[in-house]
Amino acid sequence: MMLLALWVGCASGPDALVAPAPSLPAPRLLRRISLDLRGVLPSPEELDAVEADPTLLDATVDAYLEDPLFEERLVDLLSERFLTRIGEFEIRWYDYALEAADEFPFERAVADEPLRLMARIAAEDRPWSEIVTTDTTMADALLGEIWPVDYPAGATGWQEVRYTDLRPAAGILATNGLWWRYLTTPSNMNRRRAAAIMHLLLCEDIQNRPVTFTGSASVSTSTEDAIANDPGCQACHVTVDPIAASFFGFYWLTQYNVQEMTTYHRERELLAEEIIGVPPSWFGTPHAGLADLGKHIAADPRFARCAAQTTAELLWRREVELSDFERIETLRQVYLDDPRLKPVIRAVVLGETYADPEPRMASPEQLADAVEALTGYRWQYGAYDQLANDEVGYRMLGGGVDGENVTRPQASPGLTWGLVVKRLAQAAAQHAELEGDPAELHWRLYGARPDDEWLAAIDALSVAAEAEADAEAARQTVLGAMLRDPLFVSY
Amino acid sequence: MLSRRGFLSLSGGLLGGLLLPRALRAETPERRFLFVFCRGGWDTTFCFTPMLHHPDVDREEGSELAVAGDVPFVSNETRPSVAAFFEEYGDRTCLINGFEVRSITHERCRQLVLTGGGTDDWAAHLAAASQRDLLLPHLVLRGPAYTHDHTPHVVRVGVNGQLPTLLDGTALSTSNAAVVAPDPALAALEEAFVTERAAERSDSFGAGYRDALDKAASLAAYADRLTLHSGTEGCRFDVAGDASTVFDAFELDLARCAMIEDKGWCNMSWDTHEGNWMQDWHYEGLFGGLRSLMADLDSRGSLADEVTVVVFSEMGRHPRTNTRGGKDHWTYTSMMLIGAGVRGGRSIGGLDDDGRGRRIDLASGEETDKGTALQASNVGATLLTLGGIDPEAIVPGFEPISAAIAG
Repeated sequence: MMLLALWVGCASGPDALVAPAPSLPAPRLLRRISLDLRGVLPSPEELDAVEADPTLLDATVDAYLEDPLFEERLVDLLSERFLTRIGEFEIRWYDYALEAADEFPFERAVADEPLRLMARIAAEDRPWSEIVTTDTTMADALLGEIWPVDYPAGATGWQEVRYTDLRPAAGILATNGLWWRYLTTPSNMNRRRAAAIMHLLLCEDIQNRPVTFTGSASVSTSTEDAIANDPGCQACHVTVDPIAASFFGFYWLTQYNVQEMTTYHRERELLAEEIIGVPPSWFGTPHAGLADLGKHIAADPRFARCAAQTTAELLWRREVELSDFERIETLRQVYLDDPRLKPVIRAVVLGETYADPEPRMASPEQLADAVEALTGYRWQYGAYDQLANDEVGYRMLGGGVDGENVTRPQASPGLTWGLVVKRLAQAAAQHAELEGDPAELHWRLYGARPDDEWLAAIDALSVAAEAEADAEAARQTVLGAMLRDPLFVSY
Repeated sequence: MLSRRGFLSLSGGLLGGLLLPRALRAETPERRFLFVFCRGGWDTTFCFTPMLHHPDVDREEGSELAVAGDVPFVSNETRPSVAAFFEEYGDRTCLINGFEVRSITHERCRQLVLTGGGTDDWAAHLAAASQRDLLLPHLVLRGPAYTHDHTPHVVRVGVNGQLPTLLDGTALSTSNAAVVAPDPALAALEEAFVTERAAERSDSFGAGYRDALDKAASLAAYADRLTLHSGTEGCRFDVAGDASTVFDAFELDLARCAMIEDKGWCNMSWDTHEGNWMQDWHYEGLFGGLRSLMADLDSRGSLADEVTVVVFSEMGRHPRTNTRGGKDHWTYTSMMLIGAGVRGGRSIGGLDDDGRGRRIDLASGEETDKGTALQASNVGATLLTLGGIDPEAIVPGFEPISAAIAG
């Protein structure tokens, strides 16, 4: 009966023509949706409502997509794809004469600039193509102080702003944050960046094309000649080089130089053809520079498919497979009918594939957000978010992505993940003001009703803990255990 | 194609171990692997693939061809540790030269050299295939690790050795809000509850969680015998020190594979698009570390009979100097295999006058036009074979370089 009711609720999703498969119970599915779209647990009232009427999932998803937390959560999700949250950039906090306490806020702000621009565009339900065409970016107060942006005086937090250094309107393609992450060198000439945008925005991984030097490339040939003439080189360079030619406003004469890397160099756009040997173009269509490049990308049919595929992968928590072809096609059509990200997200989370009962492992970002919302405790050390950094914290050990050595989130429990969960739960339990009887907490924390066995076990734990220590310590023990329960740390 | 008989012959007694009952297998020494990753792309003409008389390759002043332990290499008095290493350990070292990593970007080359294009790297496969119930099957002190199917077998210690702080609870002190370590008796109650809850789950998540809890509890018992921390020596990563940590873990039978990293002199990276002369400093530092590493290994009794050291970089560098005095990326590179299971005193393959890898006969190692053009997957197949894994299941169609494997 539950399955049938849920199926009614999912009928508009991308799997609508596929026979129903085993699915999560509606409250547990709501919990998954909430953690994925907001990073926090649903309220007990929301769980009650969906338990009584699973068709309310549709409306709840709509409400979650309007929740301010959605934008924050999208930043975390997109970071797994764009991999900008690396440990440190070539330019460090001290290069701007910032305080040592600004180290982590600085690194995170730079990394998040392009992510927050995309998240803002999605959250405000603007055309997704704006991510490569808008003349704005995002900056917090710290970036507003050190970068050439019109950050409003007296403002706080992340604001949508404009660069003041005459850089073209090209969305994330014109952000320092993206290109500090995807650096180039004098010999690379922005080719890495061209490959990066093909991968990130078109889901075309040109770096995966096998390269072999069987033609003219040899010791006797200069690299430049080989690139121009060798068929093995041309196979990729004929595509990559004209795109790379669009990025010469970000062609820094030297790295490790604040002025070079902070400011856009519009005059250097003209050097592209001289340096890389070809003028800017997009698959044979000449264009004038970065702004045109963004328009070409947005109009490319692969952009729509990539938006669908990326959304699915981030929310399914796995890479797409050949068997997903029709599902991705359906999502692509959703995007083409309404080219914004929210409809695609909605279609994914209300689809059958998303409701697969196989549990997913909570990411460190989800754990941090959910525990904070539940208990008020955030694991911070100085300015460092301990589940968001690897320098002094536990992001990678907690299954997260560092963008360099680990490029996709851990999908199944491991030794270090279990330990991170343990220490987070123990710390949070000491600061939580969480009231309620065990059955209520079970519902609130796990989105499921407890069975008698669990109630007996938690009662036994409580009694045993009280026999060892005072009531407060016993309460912390019980809560710590509940926060480590498999039902809490999976979803 | 490697025949079944050939594979059995190459993997020797190791594969035999797979067929034994688990209790007996646990007593059988298992080959272990230490991977030393040189980040950035090394210039093999500075050491492994001499091109000293090529008219288009700039000859480094003072460089000359030398031979030690039947291994030819490029020697220069500015890097004495290279010659000293080959004199001391050349007879236990096999160079595999001129294999191709078919990309020219760091990210992709790292993945290719370690996986051949698959999702899990050689170390993850080897760790997962261990017949022992290891607590740290693939221990990553530093460097890349690619896992998908074998994720639970890969354990990172954290860039600043955070794993021990999680084990002993001092991680709780890295909190702005005051947190104290729970009373041990209460912590034990909590642990028992969570373990029971994980055990009740019938899904793979529950099984994985239970395994993670069990391993964490077991690893805590080694806290006073093992320092799980990567170090630095001066301004560069400490290859010898990190290897020592790995050898400790090997001796305690905690790990089968490990990854450590060398990033060149002062961690400036081997990626010398400018100032290629720095390769000289990088090699001197690396081989100094390798000499200490090998001396340490040899001081540990029978462990040296179990450990294969694998030294590699994600790509090579174009033999010709560019206009900035550097060298750009090149798909052909080299790998050093040292120690257990390796047919030492050998240099297999090389670069031809065009800088491309020479074809070799996989069985003899001799260069022949009818031979195999080596790829990263051939090297991977070699490592898998050394570890007692039939490579056909992981890199189908790629045969191991049996000439590199002790008969």
